[in-house]
Amino acid sequence: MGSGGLYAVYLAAQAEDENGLAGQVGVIASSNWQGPALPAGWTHKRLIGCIPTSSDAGETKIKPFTQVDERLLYHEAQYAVTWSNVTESISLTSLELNKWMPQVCEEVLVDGQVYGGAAPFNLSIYEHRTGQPIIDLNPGTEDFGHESAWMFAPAQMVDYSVSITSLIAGSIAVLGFRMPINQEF
Amino acid sequence: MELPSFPIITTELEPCIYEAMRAWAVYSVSASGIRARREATMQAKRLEVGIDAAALEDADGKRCVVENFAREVDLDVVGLNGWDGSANLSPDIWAFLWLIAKDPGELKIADQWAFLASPSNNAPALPAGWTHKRLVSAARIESDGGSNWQIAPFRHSGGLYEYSGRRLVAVYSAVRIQAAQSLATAIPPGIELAEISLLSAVTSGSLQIMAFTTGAANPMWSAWAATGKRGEAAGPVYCPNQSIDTSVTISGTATGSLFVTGFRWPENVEP
Repeated sequence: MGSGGLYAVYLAAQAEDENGLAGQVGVIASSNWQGPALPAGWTHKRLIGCIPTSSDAGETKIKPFTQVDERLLYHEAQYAVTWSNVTESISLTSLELNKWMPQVCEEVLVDGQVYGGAAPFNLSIYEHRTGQPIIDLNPGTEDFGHESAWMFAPAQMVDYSVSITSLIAGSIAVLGFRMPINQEF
Repeated sequence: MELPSFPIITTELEPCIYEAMRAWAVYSVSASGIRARREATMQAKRLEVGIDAAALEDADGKRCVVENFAREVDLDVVGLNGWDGSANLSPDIWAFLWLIAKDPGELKIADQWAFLASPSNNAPALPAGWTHKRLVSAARIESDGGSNWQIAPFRHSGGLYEYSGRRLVAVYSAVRIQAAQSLATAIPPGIELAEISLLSAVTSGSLQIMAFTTGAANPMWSAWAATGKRGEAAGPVYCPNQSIDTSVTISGTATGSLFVTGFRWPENVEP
């Protein structure tokens, strides 16, 4: 395994008898999301999960997560962007989420929050290339704006815009994603 | 794409096919269509439970199947579709709801079945002759505000268990370094994902409350508010051993509250 990244987990089978039943079955992790390098004689496969990893001082570690059916939930927020005591104004721009959701996934659980300071300030998160906000936070002075939502994220991207001044904190985080495990192989 | 085909020759299945279908039913149906509920309008101390299909196991790991069964369970009665009688019902315990069966025949279909509530999530006191069991749900027993007990209202459908109203677990009014917070009053043992809600309510100053998976560096959820405001955040958090971590930063006069709104029930698991 390399230094961090998202690894595909496949259920693999060695052989198939005349009734379509597998001879031996096993699980194999791969960096190849299109097809794993199966050991000789292992012919059948199905994508069933994902192992998210991080690199910590050169050591690859599995990020804690729970996958229930199609949905994988991280055990802590994965911050894509954070703001603290800065002045920033960004109009609609793309945000890559490929560190936190694999390329085969199109739906992601995004959390946005922005709070503190004097209004107006805002954070909006949009479905990529549509200009349609899914999360639209415009809290008042010293108020708390927060929302999380499952979003369509084609090409592992969402878009966002933000306008904040000092004394305001905010973040965009990935909390999980949906694996396409109930599809054709 | 060429689809495989097979001729239908007779209305009677070949024995080997029937055998395979029966094995599939017994060993691949873990549970489906679990539902249970307790609503305030129902008779006191009663709840409703049902399943579409479930595989049950005996002490030797042998299985049988029960399909399409629903009953009202009366916790005030000891016996089938009631309480197992292994302990007295009292506030602040769990009543675990078991589907039990007896006398599965050659086809591994149970001959009799019923629900049974028990304080145990691993070994209910089964009536004599009842051998197979499966845990299907749970109900929190709480004080009725007087000297008696009542069932905390809930709705359970498949993998989703929701309380009728959020359940207060903790209130903080002082600084708290990240530390363990038990959810045992709202999350039964064996549950891994809790649905929580955080509320920051501030009279003056500010307060931020955070919820973490035990030992995690980053919070899963946080809520912040300043003078005269309330901030809320809610969602799932991993909660092994009925516990998470929480932290609170505070200045001034404020309270941070932690609620549980429900949890994920492990529906499709081994009996």
